[in-house]
Amino acid sequence: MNVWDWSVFFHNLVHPTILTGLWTTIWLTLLTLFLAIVLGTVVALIGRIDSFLTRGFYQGYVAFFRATPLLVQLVFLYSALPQMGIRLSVVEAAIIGLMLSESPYVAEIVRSSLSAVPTAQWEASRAIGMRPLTIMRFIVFPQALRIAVPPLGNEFVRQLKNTSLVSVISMTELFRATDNLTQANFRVLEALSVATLYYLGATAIWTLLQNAFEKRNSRWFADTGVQKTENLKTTAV
Amino acid sequence: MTMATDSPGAFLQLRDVVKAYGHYVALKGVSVSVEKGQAIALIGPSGSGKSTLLRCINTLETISSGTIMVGDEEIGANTTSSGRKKLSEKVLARQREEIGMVFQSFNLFPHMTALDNVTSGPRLVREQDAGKARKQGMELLARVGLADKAENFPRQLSGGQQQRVAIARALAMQPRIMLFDEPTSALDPETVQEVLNVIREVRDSGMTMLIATHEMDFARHASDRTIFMEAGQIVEQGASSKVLFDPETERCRQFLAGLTGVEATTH
Repeated sequence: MNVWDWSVFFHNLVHPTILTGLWTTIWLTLLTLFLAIVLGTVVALIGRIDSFLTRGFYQGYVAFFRATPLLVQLVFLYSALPQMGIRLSVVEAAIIGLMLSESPYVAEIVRSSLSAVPTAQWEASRAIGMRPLTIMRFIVFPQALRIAVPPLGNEFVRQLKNTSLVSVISMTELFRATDNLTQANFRVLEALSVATLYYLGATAIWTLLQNAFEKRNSRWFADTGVQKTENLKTTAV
Repeated sequence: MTMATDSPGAFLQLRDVVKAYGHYVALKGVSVSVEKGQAIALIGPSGSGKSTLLRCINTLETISSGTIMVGDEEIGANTTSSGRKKLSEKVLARQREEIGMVFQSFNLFPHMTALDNVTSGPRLVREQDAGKARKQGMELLARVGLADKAENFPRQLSGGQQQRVAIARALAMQPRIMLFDEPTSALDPETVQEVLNVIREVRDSGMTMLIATHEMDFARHASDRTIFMEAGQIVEQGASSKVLFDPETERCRQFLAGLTGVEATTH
Protein backbone atom coordinates (compact mmCIF):
# COMPACT_ATOMS: atom_id res chain seq x y z
CA MET A 1 0.00 0.00 0.00
CA ASN A 2 1.41 3.40 -1.03
CA VAL A 3 1.80 6.12 1.58
CA TRP A 4 -0.14 8.57 -0.57
CA ASP A 5 -2.46 7.80 -3.46
CA TRP A 6 -3.50 10.78 -5.57
CA SER A 7 -6.28 8.86 -7.28
CA VAL A 8 -7.92 8.18 -3.89
CA PHE A 9 -7.46 11.82 -2.95
CA PHE A 10 -9.18 13.10 -6.09
CA HIS A 11 -11.82 10.42 -5.86
CA ASN A 12 -12.63 11.58 -2.30
CA LEU A 13 -12.50 15.24 -3.27
CA VAL A 14 -15.69 14.91 -5.33
CA HIS A 15 -17.21 11.92 -3.58
CA PRO A 16 -20.97 12.45 -3.00
CA THR A 17 -20.65 11.33 0.63
CA ILE A 18 -18.00 13.97 1.33
CA LEU A 19 -19.84 16.70 -0.58
CA THR A 20 -23.08 15.94 1.24
CA GLY A 21 -21.18 16.03 4.52
CA LEU A 22 -19.56 19.34 3.55
CA TRP A 23 -22.94 20.83 2.72
CA THR A 24 -24.30 19.66 6.11
CA THR A 25 -21.32 21.25 7.88
CA ILE A 26 -21.87 24.54 6.06
CA TRP A 27 -25.58 24.90 6.67
CA LEU A 28 -25.23 23.67 10.24
CA THR A 29 -22.53 26.27 10.89
CA LEU A 30 -24.43 29.15 9.31
CA LEU A 31 -27.79 28.23 10.81
CA THR A 32 -26.52 27.68 14.35
CA LEU A 33 -24.30 30.76 14.25
CA PHE A 34 -27.25 32.82 13.07
CA LEU A 35 -29.46 31.40 15.84
CA ALA A 36 -26.68 31.96 18.37
CA ILE A 37 -26.36 35.60 17.24
CA VAL A 38 -30.10 36.14 17.68
CA LEU A 39 -30.16 34.38 21.05
CA GLY A 40 -26.88 35.93 22.22
CA THR A 41 -28.08 39.44 21.26
CA VAL A 42 -31.33 38.96 23.18
CA VAL A 43 -29.39 37.69 26.20
CA ALA A 44 -26.95 40.64 25.95
CA LEU A 45 -29.83 43.13 25.75
CA ILE A 46 -31.45 41.56 28.80
CA GLY A 47 -28.07 41.80 30.56
CA ARG A 48 -27.96 45.54 29.86
CA ILE A 49 -31.19 46.20 31.74
CA ASP A 50 -30.19 47.76 35.00
CA SER A 51 -31.67 45.43 37.58
CA PHE A 52 -30.41 42.79 39.97
CA LEU A 53 -32.50 40.07 38.34
CA THR A 54 -31.50 40.68 34.73
CA ARG A 55 -27.83 41.04 35.54
CA GLY A 56 -27.98 37.83 37.60
CA PHE A 57 -29.70 36.03 34.74
CA TYR A 58 -27.06 37.24 32.29
CA GLN A 59 -24.12 36.21 34.42
CA GLY A 60 -25.68 32.83 35.23
CA TYR A 61 -26.48 32.14 31.58
CA VAL A 62 -23.01 32.98 30.34
CA ALA A 63 -21.32 31.08 33.15
CA PHE A 64 -23.42 27.95 32.68
CA PHE A 65 -23.22 27.53 28.92
CA ARG A 66 -19.62 28.57 28.74
CA ALA A 67 -18.49 26.25 31.50
CA THR A 68 -20.02 23.05 30.11
CA PRO A 69 -18.30 21.34 27.16
CA LEU A 70 -20.21 21.23 23.89
CA LEU A 71 -19.72 17.48 23.73
CA VAL A 72 -21.42 17.04 27.10
CA GLN A 73 -24.27 19.37 26.05
CA LEU A 74 -24.82 17.40 22.83
CA VAL A 75 -24.86 14.03 24.54
CA PHE A 76 -27.10 15.45 27.27
CA LEU A 77 -29.60 16.77 24.71
CA TYR A 78 -29.59 13.58 22.66
CA SER A 79 -29.19 10.84 25.26
CA ALA A 80 -30.12 12.22 28.68
CA LEU A 81 -33.26 14.19 27.83
CA PRO A 82 -35.18 11.10 26.65
CA GLN A 83 -34.94 9.83 30.23
CA MET A 84 -37.02 12.90 31.14
CA GLY A 85 -39.45 12.13 28.34
CA ILE A 86 -38.07 14.70 25.87
CA ARG A 87 -36.99 13.10 22.64
CA LEU A 88 -35.00 15.17 20.15
CA SER A 89 -33.97 13.99 16.71
CA VAL A 90 -30.26 14.01 15.86
CA VAL A 91 -30.66 17.17 13.83
CA GLU A 92 -32.68 18.93 16.52
CA ALA A 93 -30.18 18.02 19.23
CA ALA A 94 -27.29 19.16 17.00
CA ILE A 95 -28.89 22.51 16.18
CA ILE A 96 -29.96 23.24 19.75
CA GLY A 97 -26.63 22.16 21.22
CA LEU A 98 -24.53 24.19 18.80
CA MET A 99 -26.77 27.22 19.24
CA LEU A 100 -26.77 27.11 23.04
CA SER A 101 -23.07 26.52 23.44
CA GLU A 102 -22.22 29.39 21.08
CA SER A 103 -24.72 31.92 22.44
CA PRO A 104 -22.76 33.04 25.56
CA TYR A 105 -19.74 33.92 23.40
CA VAL A 106 -21.93 35.98 21.10
CA ALA A 107 -23.63 37.59 24.10
CA GLU A 108 -20.26 38.70 25.47
CA ILE A 109 -19.23 40.11 22.08
CA VAL A 110 -22.52 41.99 21.69
CA ARG A 111 -22.41 43.30 25.24
CA SER A 112 -18.85 44.61 24.94
CA SER A 113 -19.48 46.06 21.47
CA LEU A 114 -22.54 47.94 22.68
CA SER A 115 -20.69 49.38 25.64
CA ALA A 116 -17.77 50.33 23.39
CA VAL A 117 -20.00 52.91 21.66
CA PRO A 118 -19.31 56.14 23.58
CA THR A 119 -22.06 57.41 25.88
CA ALA A 120 -21.67 60.74 24.10
CA GLN A 121 -23.44 59.12 21.13
CA TRP A 122 -26.43 58.38 23.35
CA GLU A 123 -26.40 61.96 24.64
CA ALA A 124 -26.16 63.53 21.21
CA SER A 125 -29.07 61.37 20.06
CA ARG A 126 -31.19 62.15 23.10
CA ALA A 127 -30.40 65.84 22.67
CA ILE A 128 -32.20 65.87 19.32
CA GLY A 129 -35.17 64.06 20.78
CA MET A 130 -34.52 60.44 19.82
CA ARG A 131 -36.11 57.73 21.94
CA PRO A 132 -34.07 54.78 23.26
CA LEU A 133 -35.22 52.25 20.64
CA THR A 134 -34.46 54.64 17.79
CA ILE A 135 -31.04 55.37 19.25
CA MET A 136 -30.30 51.67 19.60
CA ARG A 137 -31.41 50.84 16.08
CA PHE A 138 -29.99 53.72 14.06
CA ILE A 139 -27.10 55.09 16.09
CA VAL A 140 -25.66 52.53 18.50
CA PHE A 141 -26.25 49.21 16.72
CA PRO A 142 -24.56 50.15 13.42
CA GLN A 143 -21.51 51.34 15.34
CA ALA A 144 -21.49 48.29 17.62
CA LEU A 145 -21.82 45.98 14.62
CA ARG A 146 -18.61 47.29 13.16
CA ILE A 147 -16.85 46.55 16.43
CA ALA A 148 -18.46 43.11 16.70
CA VAL A 149 -17.65 41.79 13.23
CA PRO A 150 -13.99 40.77 13.71
CA PRO A 151 -14.68 38.76 16.89
CA LEU A 152 -17.85 37.30 15.32
CA GLY A 153 -15.69 36.16 12.42
CA ASN A 154 -13.66 34.18 14.94
CA GLU A 155 -16.84 32.61 16.19
CA PHE A 156 -17.71 31.45 12.67
CA VAL A 157 -14.42 29.59 12.46
CA ARG A 158 -14.90 28.11 15.92
CA GLN A 159 -18.44 27.05 15.10
CA LEU A 160 -17.32 25.49 11.81
CA LYS A 161 -14.88 23.31 13.72
CA ASN A 162 -17.35 22.60 16.51
CA THR A 163 -19.82 21.04 14.06
CA SER A 164 -17.45 18.06 13.84
CA LEU A 165 -18.52 17.16 17.38
CA VAL A 166 -22.09 16.38 16.34
CA SER A 167 -20.65 13.28 14.66
CA VAL A 168 -20.71 11.80 18.16
CA ILE A 169 -24.51 11.84 18.19
CA SER A 170 -24.38 10.28 14.70
CA MET A 171 -25.05 13.31 12.53
CA THR A 172 -23.28 12.89 9.19
CA GLU A 173 -21.44 16.12 8.64
CA LEU A 174 -18.06 16.51 6.95
CA PHE A 175 -16.00 14.69 9.57
CA ARG A 176 -18.35 11.74 9.98
CA ALA A 177 -18.76 11.47 6.21
CA THR A 178 -15.00 11.31 5.90
CA ASP A 179 -14.84 8.70 8.60
CA ASN A 180 -17.54 6.64 6.86
CA LEU A 181 -15.57 6.68 3.67
CA THR A 182 -12.43 5.36 5.35
CA GLN A 183 -14.42 2.40 6.68
CA ALA A 184 -14.74 1.26 3.06
CA ASN A 185 -11.17 1.66 1.79
CA PHE A 186 -9.03 2.30 4.89
CA ARG A 187 -7.33 5.29 3.19
CA VAL A 188 -7.49 7.60 6.19
CA LEU A 189 -4.72 9.99 5.15
CA GLU A 190 -6.29 10.98 1.80
CA ALA A 191 -9.76 11.23 3.31
CA LEU A 192 -8.74 13.44 6.21
CA SER A 193 -6.63 15.61 3.89
CA VAL A 194 -9.73 16.26 1.81
CA ALA A 195 -11.73 17.14 4.92
CA THR A 196 -8.97 19.45 6.11
CA LEU A 197 -8.86 21.14 2.74
CA TYR A 198 -12.60 21.81 2.85
CA TYR A 199 -12.43 23.20 6.39
CA LEU A 200 -9.62 25.51 5.28
CA GLY A 201 -11.53 26.52 2.15
CA ALA A 202 -14.67 27.41 4.09
CA THR A 203 -12.65 29.52 6.52
CA ALA A 204 -10.85 31.28 3.66
CA ILE A 205 -14.10 32.21 1.91
CA TRP A 206 -15.49 33.54 5.19
CA THR A 207 -12.37 35.62 5.76
CA LEU A 208 -12.74 37.21 2.32
CA LEU A 209 -16.36 38.12 3.05
CA GLN A 210 -15.41 39.55 6.41
CA ASN A 211 -12.60 41.64 4.93
CA ALA A 212 -14.98 43.06 2.34
CA PHE A 213 -17.41 44.06 5.08
CA GLU A 214 -14.69 45.65 7.19
CA LYS A 215 -13.34 47.56 4.23
CA ARG A 216 -16.77 48.93 3.45
CA ASN A 217 -17.07 50.25 7.00
CA SER A 218 -13.59 51.70 7.03
CA ARG A 219 -15.05 54.67 5.14
CA TRP A 220 -16.22 56.03 8.44
CA PHE A 221 -14.19 54.12 10.97
CA ALA A 222 -10.93 55.70 11.95
CA ASP A 223 -8.39 53.00 12.59
CA THR A 224 -8.41 50.61 9.66
CA GLY A 225 -5.17 50.81 7.78
CA VAL A 226 -4.84 51.90 4.18
CA GLN A 227 -8.07 53.78 3.67
CA LYS A 228 -7.27 56.00 6.61
CA THR A 229 -4.19 57.64 5.10
CA GLU A 230 -5.98 58.14 1.78
CA ASN A 231 -8.81 59.94 3.49
CA LEU A 232 -6.56 62.07 5.61
CA LYS A 233 -5.04 63.50 2.47
CA THR A 234 -8.41 64.62 1.21
CA THR A 235 -9.47 66.08 4.57
CA ALA A 236 -6.76 68.51 5.43
CA VAL A 237 -8.42 71.50 3.85
CA MET B 1 -23.98 91.36 43.12
CA THR B 2 -26.96 91.03 40.86
CA MET B 3 -29.61 88.65 42.05
CA ALA B 4 -31.82 86.98 39.51
CA THR B 5 -35.37 88.07 39.60
CA ASP B 6 -38.36 86.78 37.75
CA SER B 7 -38.93 88.90 34.76
CA PRO B 8 -42.38 88.88 33.22
CA GLY B 9 -41.06 88.75 29.66
CA ALA B 10 -38.77 85.81 30.34
CA PHE B 11 -38.72 83.07 27.71
CA LEU B 12 -36.38 80.76 29.62
CA GLN B 13 -36.77 80.87 33.35
CA LEU B 14 -34.78 78.88 35.91
CA ARG B 15 -35.80 79.13 39.54
CA ASP B 16 -33.64 77.80 42.37
CA VAL B 17 -32.31 74.95 40.28
CA VAL B 18 -30.38 72.44 42.37
CA LYS B 19 -28.51 69.48 40.94
CA ALA B 20 -26.90 67.02 43.32
CA TYR B 21 -24.98 63.86 42.56
CA GLY B 22 -25.14 62.03 45.86
CA HIS B 23 -23.36 64.32 48.29
CA TYR B 24 -21.80 66.47 45.60
CA VAL B 25 -23.94 69.47 44.73
CA ALA B 26 -23.13 70.72 41.23
CA LEU B 27 -25.76 73.47 41.12
CA LYS B 28 -26.68 75.20 44.37
CA GLY B 29 -29.88 77.04 43.60
CA VAL B 30 -29.42 78.78 40.27
CA SER B 31 -31.96 81.28 39.00
CA VAL B 32 -31.74 82.75 35.54
CA SER B 33 -34.22 84.43 33.25
CA VAL B 34 -33.59 84.94 29.59
CA GLU B 35 -35.72 86.95 27.21
CA LYS B 36 -36.59 85.75 23.76
CA GLY B 37 -33.80 86.42 21.28
CA GLN B 38 -31.21 87.10 23.94
CA ALA B 39 -27.76 85.58 23.81
CA ILE B 40 -26.29 84.72 27.21
CA ALA B 41 -22.65 83.92 27.81
CA LEU B 42 -21.88 81.56 30.69
CA ILE B 43 -18.38 81.99 32.01
CA GLY B 44 -16.50 80.63 34.98
CA PRO B 45 -13.73 78.22 35.90
CA SER B 46 -13.88 74.52 35.04
CA GLY B 47 -16.22 72.67 37.35
CA SER B 48 -18.23 75.78 38.11
CA GLY B 49 -21.43 74.17 36.84
CA LYS B 50 -21.78 75.76 33.38
CA SER B 51 -22.06 72.45 31.56
CA THR B 52 -24.31 70.96 34.21
CA LEU B 53 -26.63 73.95 33.90
CA LEU B 54 -26.94 73.50 30.13
CA ARG B 55 -27.40 69.74 30.47
CA CYS B 56 -30.19 70.31 32.98
CA ILE B 57 -31.98 72.71 30.66
CA ASN B 58 -32.33 70.09 27.96
CA THR B 59 -32.95 67.37 30.56
CA LEU B 60 -29.91 65.26 29.80
CA GLU B 61 -29.61 65.59 33.58
CA THR B 62 -32.58 65.55 35.91
CA ILE B 63 -32.55 68.41 38.37
CA SER B 64 -32.93 67.67 42.07
CA SER B 65 -35.21 70.61 42.79
CA GLY B 66 -36.33 73.91 41.35
CA THR B 67 -38.13 74.62 38.11
CA ILE B 68 -37.15 75.27 34.52
CA MET B 69 -39.65 76.93 32.21
CA VAL B 70 -39.43 77.49 28.47
CA GLY B 71 -42.27 79.74 27.41
CA ASP B 72 -45.26 78.44 29.36
CA GLU B 73 -43.99 74.89 29.57
CA GLU B 74 -42.17 73.37 32.51
CA ILE B 75 -39.17 71.35 31.38
CA GLY B 76 -38.29 67.92 32.77
CA ALA B 77 -40.97 67.74 35.42
CA ASN B 78 -44.45 68.69 36.38
CA THR B 79 -44.50 70.73 39.57
CA THR B 80 -47.82 71.12 41.29
CA SER B 81 -48.84 72.03 44.81
CA SER B 82 -48.58 68.35 45.71
CA GLY B 83 -44.97 68.04 44.56
CA ARG B 84 -42.65 67.50 41.64
CA LYS B 85 -43.16 64.65 39.21
CA LYS B 86 -40.68 63.66 36.53
CA LEU B 87 -42.14 63.55 33.05
CA SER B 88 -42.25 60.39 30.96
CA GLU B 89 -39.37 59.66 28.60
CA LYS B 90 -41.72 60.31 25.70
CA VAL B 91 -42.51 63.85 26.82
CA LEU B 92 -38.87 64.51 27.75
CA ALA B 93 -37.80 63.45 24.25
CA ARG B 94 -40.32 65.85 22.74
CA GLN B 95 -39.04 68.68 24.93
CA ARG B 96 -35.43 67.93 23.96
CA GLU B 97 -36.35 68.20 20.28
CA GLU B 98 -37.04 71.87 20.81
CA ILE B 99 -33.93 72.62 22.85
CA GLY B 100 -30.89 72.40 20.61
CA MET B 101 -27.61 71.33 22.14
CA VAL B 102 -24.10 71.63 20.75
CA PHE B 103 -21.36 69.73 22.57
CA GLN B 104 -17.72 70.53 23.15
CA SER B 105 -16.65 67.31 21.39
CA PHE B 106 -19.18 67.64 18.50
CA ASN B 107 -20.53 64.09 18.98
CA LEU B 108 -21.48 63.64 15.35
CA PHE B 109 -22.62 60.17 14.33
CA PRO B 110 -19.46 58.71 12.76
CA HIS B 111 -21.27 56.22 10.52
CA MET B 112 -23.35 58.89 8.82
CA THR B 113 -22.35 61.50 6.26
CA ALA B 114 -22.54 65.19 7.17
CA LEU B 115 -25.91 65.44 5.42
CA ASP B 116 -27.28 62.33 7.14
CA ASN B 117 -26.15 63.74 10.47
CA VAL B 118 -28.06 66.94 9.81
CA THR B 119 -31.19 65.13 8.64
CA SER B 120 -31.07 62.46 11.37
CA GLY B 121 -33.44 64.38 13.65
CA PRO B 122 -36.07 65.21 11.03
CA ARG B 123 -35.90 61.68 9.57
CA LEU B 124 -35.68 59.54 12.70
CA VAL B 125 -37.56 61.68 15.20
CA ARG B 126 -40.09 63.61 13.10
CA GLU B 127 -40.34 60.93 10.40
CA GLN B 128 -40.13 63.60 7.78
CA ASP B 129 -40.17 62.65 4.13
CA ALA B 130 -36.60 61.87 2.98
CA GLY B 131 -36.63 64.30 0.05
CA LYS B 132 -37.87 67.18 2.17
CA ALA B 133 -35.39 66.42 4.96
CA ARG B 134 -32.60 66.28 2.42
CA LYS B 135 -33.54 69.62 0.90
CA GLN B 136 -33.71 71.29 4.30
CA GLY B 137 -30.45 69.57 5.31
CA MET B 138 -28.66 70.93 2.26
CA GLU B 139 -29.94 74.42 3.04
CA LEU B 140 -28.60 74.17 6.57
CA LEU B 141 -25.23 72.87 5.40
CA ALA B 142 -25.07 75.80 3.00
CA ARG B 143 -25.92 78.12 5.88
CA VAL B 144 -22.91 76.86 7.87
CA GLY B 145 -20.76 76.98 4.72
CA LEU B 146 -20.42 73.23 4.17
CA ALA B 147 -22.65 72.41 1.22
CA ASP B 148 -19.67 70.85 -0.57
CA LYS B 149 -19.01 68.48 2.37
CA ALA B 150 -22.49 66.93 2.44
CA GLU B 151 -21.30 63.45 1.48
CA ASN B 152 -18.21 63.46 3.73
CA PHE B 153 -18.07 61.38 6.87
CA PRO B 154 -17.24 63.22 10.13
CA ARG B 155 -13.70 61.86 10.29
CA GLN B 156 -13.01 63.40 6.88
CA LEU B 157 -13.80 66.84 8.29
CA SER B 158 -11.73 69.17 10.44
CA GLY B 159 -12.84 69.92 13.99
CA GLY B 160 -14.31 73.28 13.00
CA GLN B 161 -16.22 71.70 10.13
CA GLN B 162 -17.54 68.95 12.39
CA GLN B 163 -18.76 71.50 14.89
CA ARG B 164 -20.52 73.45 12.13
CA VAL B 165 -22.24 70.23 11.05
CA ALA B 166 -23.24 69.68 14.69
CA ILE B 167 -24.77 73.17 14.81
CA ALA B 168 -26.68 72.45 11.59
CA ARG B 169 -27.87 69.15 13.07
CA ALA B 170 -29.27 70.98 16.09
CA LEU B 171 -30.86 73.70 13.94
CA ALA B 172 -32.57 71.06 11.78
CA MET B 173 -35.01 70.45 14.63
CA GLN B 174 -36.01 74.13 14.56
CA PRO B 175 -35.30 74.55 18.27
CA ARG B 176 -36.75 77.33 20.41
CA ILE B 177 -33.46 77.70 22.26
CA MET B 178 -29.89 76.73 21.43
CA LEU B 179 -27.42 75.65 24.10
CA PHE B 180 -23.71 75.65 23.32
CA ASP B 181 -21.46 73.78 25.73
CA GLU B 182 -17.97 75.20 25.18
CA PRO B 183 -18.34 74.76 21.43
CA THR B 184 -14.84 75.91 20.56
CA SER B 185 -12.82 74.44 23.44
CA ALA B 186 -11.81 71.31 21.52
CA LEU B 187 -10.83 73.17 18.36
CA ASP B 188 -7.57 74.21 16.79
CA PRO B 189 -7.11 77.96 17.14
CA GLU B 190 -7.45 78.48 13.36
CA THR B 191 -10.89 76.93 13.24
CA VAL B 192 -12.35 78.68 16.28
CA GLN B 193 -13.39 81.77 14.30
CA GLU B 194 -15.31 79.87 11.63
CA VAL B 195 -17.42 78.26 14.36
CA LEU B 196 -17.91 81.53 16.24
CA ASN B 197 -19.01 83.19 13.01
CA VAL B 198 -21.68 80.56 12.53
CA ILE B 199 -22.85 80.97 16.13
CA ARG B 200 -22.95 84.73 15.62
CA GLU B 201 -25.07 84.24 12.51
CA VAL B 202 -27.47 82.01 14.47
CA ARG B 203 -27.73 84.72 17.12
CA ASP B 204 -28.39 87.38 14.49
CA SER B 205 -31.26 85.27 13.19
CA GLY B 206 -32.98 85.93 16.51
CA MET B 207 -32.31 82.64 18.27
CA THR B 208 -32.42 82.60 22.06
CA MET B 209 -29.18 81.07 23.20
CA LEU B 210 -26.95 80.18 26.10
CA ILE B 211 -23.30 79.63 25.44
CA ALA B 212 -20.76 78.33 27.93
CA THR B 213 -17.48 79.69 26.70
CA HIS B 214 -13.92 80.65 27.47
CA GLU B 215 -13.83 82.97 24.45
CA MET B 216 -14.07 86.27 26.28
CA ASP B 217 -13.80 88.24 23.10
CA PHE B 218 -16.82 86.44 21.72
CA ALA B 219 -18.72 86.94 24.98
CA ARG B 220 -17.95 90.66 24.86
CA HIS B 221 -19.07 91.20 21.32
CA ALA B 222 -21.72 88.61 20.67
CA SER B 223 -23.65 88.18 23.92
CA ASP B 224 -26.23 90.46 25.47
CA ARG B 225 -25.67 89.26 28.99
CA THR B 226 -22.97 87.38 30.81
CA ILE B 227 -23.36 85.11 33.78
CA PHE B 228 -20.30 84.36 35.88
CA MET B 229 -20.55 81.08 37.76
CA GLU B 230 -18.38 79.49 40.38
CA ALA B 231 -18.85 76.39 42.55
CA GLY B 232 -22.39 75.79 41.32
CA GLN B 233 -23.61 79.31 41.96
CA ILE B 234 -24.08 82.49 40.02
CA VAL B 235 -21.59 84.98 41.37
CA GLU B 236 -22.41 87.84 39.07
CA GLN B 237 -24.67 88.49 36.11
CA GLY B 238 -25.60 91.44 34.01
CA ALA B 239 -25.04 93.15 30.69
CA SER B 240 -21.92 91.72 29.06
CA SER B 241 -20.49 95.19 28.66
CA LYS B 242 -20.72 95.60 32.45
CA VAL B 243 -19.72 92.13 33.72
CA LEU B 244 -16.82 91.66 31.33
CA PHE B 245 -15.36 95.16 31.41
CA ASP B 246 -16.19 96.36 34.90
CA PRO B 247 -17.24 93.47 37.14
CA GLU B 248 -18.68 94.23 40.54
CA THR B 249 -17.34 91.21 42.37
CA GLU B 250 -13.70 90.74 43.21
CA ARG B 251 -13.93 87.06 42.25
CA CYS B 252 -15.15 87.82 38.75
CA ARG B 253 -12.44 90.43 38.32
CA GLN B 254 -9.80 87.89 39.39
CA PHE B 255 -11.17 85.29 37.01
CA LEU B 256 -11.17 87.66 34.05
CA ALA B 257 -7.68 88.92 34.86
CA GLY B 258 -6.35 85.38 35.07
CA LEU B 259 -8.04 84.33 31.86
CA THR B 260 -7.23 87.31 29.74
CA GLY B 261 -3.93 88.31 31.26
CA VAL B 262 -2.38 89.10 27.92
CA GLU B 263 -5.53 90.40 26.34
CA ALA B 264 -6.40 92.72 29.23
CA THR B 265 -3.51 95.01 28.45
CA THR B 266 -4.95 95.70 25.03
CA HIS B 267 -8.26 96.95 26.41
